[in-house]
Parts: sequence; C-alpha cells; structure tokens
Amino acid sequence: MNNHPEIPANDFYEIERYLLKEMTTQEQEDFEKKLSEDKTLTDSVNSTRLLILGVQEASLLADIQHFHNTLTQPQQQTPAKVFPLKKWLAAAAVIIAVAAGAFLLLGKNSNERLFAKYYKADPGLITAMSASDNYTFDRAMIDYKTGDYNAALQAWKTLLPAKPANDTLNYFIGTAYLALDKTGEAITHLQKVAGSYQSYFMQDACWYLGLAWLKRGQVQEAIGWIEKSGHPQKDALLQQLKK
Amino acid sequence: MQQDNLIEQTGSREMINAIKANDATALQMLYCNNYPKVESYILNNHGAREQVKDIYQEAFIAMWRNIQLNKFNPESDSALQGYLFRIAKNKWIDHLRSDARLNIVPLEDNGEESGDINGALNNDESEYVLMVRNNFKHLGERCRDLITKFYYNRQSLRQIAEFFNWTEATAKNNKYRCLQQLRELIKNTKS
Repeated sequence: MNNHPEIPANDFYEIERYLLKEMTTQEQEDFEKKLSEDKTLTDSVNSTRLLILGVQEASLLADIQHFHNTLTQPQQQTPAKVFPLKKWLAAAAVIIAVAAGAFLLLGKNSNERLFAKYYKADPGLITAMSASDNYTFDRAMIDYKTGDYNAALQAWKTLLPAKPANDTLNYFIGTAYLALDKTGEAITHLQKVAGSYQSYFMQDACWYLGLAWLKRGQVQEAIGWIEKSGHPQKDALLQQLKK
Repeated sequence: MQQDNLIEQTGSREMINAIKANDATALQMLYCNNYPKVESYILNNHGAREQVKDIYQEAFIAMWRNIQLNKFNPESDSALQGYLFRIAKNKWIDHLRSDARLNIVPLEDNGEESGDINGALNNDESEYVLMVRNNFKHLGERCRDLITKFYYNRQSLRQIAEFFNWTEATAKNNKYRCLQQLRELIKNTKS
C-alpha cells in the first residue's frame, strides 16, 4: 500500500468531515463529485480512513487489555494469592468441601446431583469502571465476588425499590439467592430478567433459572428455561435431563 | 414469535449502536462474557492457555472492525456472540494450519465463513492499519490521549480543549500535528 500522499491541513479537515459524516448533504455530494475526478484526493481519503481506523483499533486494544486484566482476577482467586496461609486454608476447605459434597451426593436424588454438577456461581461483574453513584452496587459486587452473598443481597435489596425492573440488579439478586440455595427467591428475580429479550443477562438468567427449577425437582420447567440459555454446557445438561 | 424476534432485534441494534459508539460497558461485557467459550474451544483443540488471549483479542478487534464498517449486522445478540466465536475459531484454525510442525487437523473444521469474516479490508489495507496500531504506542502520551479522546471516545474539540486547557483551534491543530507524527512514524517503519 504505497498510496499515502501528504495531506495539507485544510484538505485533511475536509476529508475528516467527510469520513466522520459531518458534512451537509450538498457538501457531501460536491465532495464525492470531486472525489470521482481526483485520484490523489481518493488516495488521501482512503489513507485517512485507514489511519482513523488504525488509531481507533489501537485505542480499543488498550481498552481490551484493561478488560482482560479484570477478567483474569476472579479466576485467579486474588485474595488467596495475597495471603499464602489463606491459600492453604482455602485449599484445605475446598478438599473438605469436596469430600463432604461427595458424601452428601450419595444421598441426593439425580436432579440435585445434576444441579451440583452443572451449577457454578456467576463470577460477577467488573466494578472498577463504574460511576461513583453506583458505589453501593459496586461495593456489594465485591462482597458477591468474595462469596459473601448475604452481604451483597442486603445492599442490593436497598437499591431495588428505586429500580424494581432493573435487569442487572434482579439478575445478581437472583444469582445470589441461588448461591445461598434459596431457589424460590432466586426464581422470582431471575424470571424478571429471563423474559426480557433486551437484557444482556437474559440468556444467563435462563440458565440459572433452569438450574433453580432443577434443584426444586421441576425437570420440565428446567428444560424449558435451559433451552433458552446460551450456556456452553446447555446441550450436555439437556441431554441428561431428557434421558 | 414475530414480536419476540422484533424485540430481540431491537436489543441487538442497541448493542450494535453501543459497540459503534465504543461504549466501554457494552464492550467489556461482550469481551468478558464470551472469553470462556473461546478459551474452552482453544484448550480443547491443542491450544495452551497463554495462546487464548492473543487469538481472542484479535478476533474481538476483527468483530469490532466489521461492525464499524457495516460488514456485519447481526439479527440478535446471540448471533453477535456466535459471530465473535466463529472469528476466534477461524483464527485458531488458521494458526494451527500455519504451524506445519503441528500437523494437526482441528476439530469441527468446516472452513465456514472465513472469507466473509476476514473480508472487510484487503491485505494492503489490513497491513497499513496494523502499522498504525503498532506505531500509535510510540506517540507521546499527550498525542495518544488527544487522538483517543477525539476518534475513539468521540469527544468534541470543545470538550478536549477544556480538558487540556487549550482553545478549540489549538486542539484542532494539535490533533493534526499528532496524526502527522504518526504518519511519519509509519513512513519510517516502511522505509
């Protein structure tokens, strides 16, 4: 690609207005007429278009590096990394929990076994970029991510009267209840989100709603919701439920 | 059902508009929610965890680019997420194919839509955009900040001038100078 001519400032401003769609219809028509007759101008427009696209992608890349850093934090169990002793205690607790879980599973029915196999709490949202007026929500999200679901619920429920239909709030209140094994309350809140096609959480809400019904032994209800979810393990779970 | 589709399409349009406006919350949610699926695919197809990030980020940028250039208009949010996954999958398959040492046939390799997914720019154009991206980081911090505010965050010259305590005319001139510096950096890279 060698067609990147020098572009004087005034020409650049005109090209930029064209590319950013800031021209009037008449200006645009006049400019496009000029464009069809002037090869250098065409090259300048293409070069500027790629330059702008490139700087936008560079900025996007910086943003997604930030997204990525926040993404990996919960997966790496950050608090455990800071305190090695806690790491060992946490590992011991996990072993005990797994052993106890395995013991308890022997006595559980097949629905509960499936629930235990497929349920994994939603990891929560990244809170670093929130506006200051969302402080209560964000603070509670930290509680949620550290497993203090009761504290998270207590805070989020204070926000609900002002925003009873808020999908984010209902989704996380629902998932927090589910994490606490309160399936009835979980279903109440998750249903508000699972029926909202405009919600970003709709498909995830369907998954957890299905799991909540499964935990309650309502397999057909569970199948209906899980089918609407986009969870990677959806097909595997459905296959077992439909056996 | 038609009404459901309409509602879903409306939600999808909002998502597309948010992506086009570089809305950080929408981009972050899209990025974070779809990473595990791509990670799982790559790990199950001869990949290592440290390879996932590069493949996924390139796929994410390709998706963003195709939306900005109106090359992809999904009819639903799930179509958008499926599209992102397919780009990542194709990029991983290309990676496996390019590494002759591996001699691996990837799982589920049906070569679908690779042309369409990668086709927003020709090779020369893609190469130039990549050079812009690579050289952008060599600009001074103030230039990077100014350019990002104007072209990515879509701030007006007035807002930028206020932020830097400049006049609007100064902001406009400085923006041009910064882009000229970037062009020079690219020219030096090529020569």
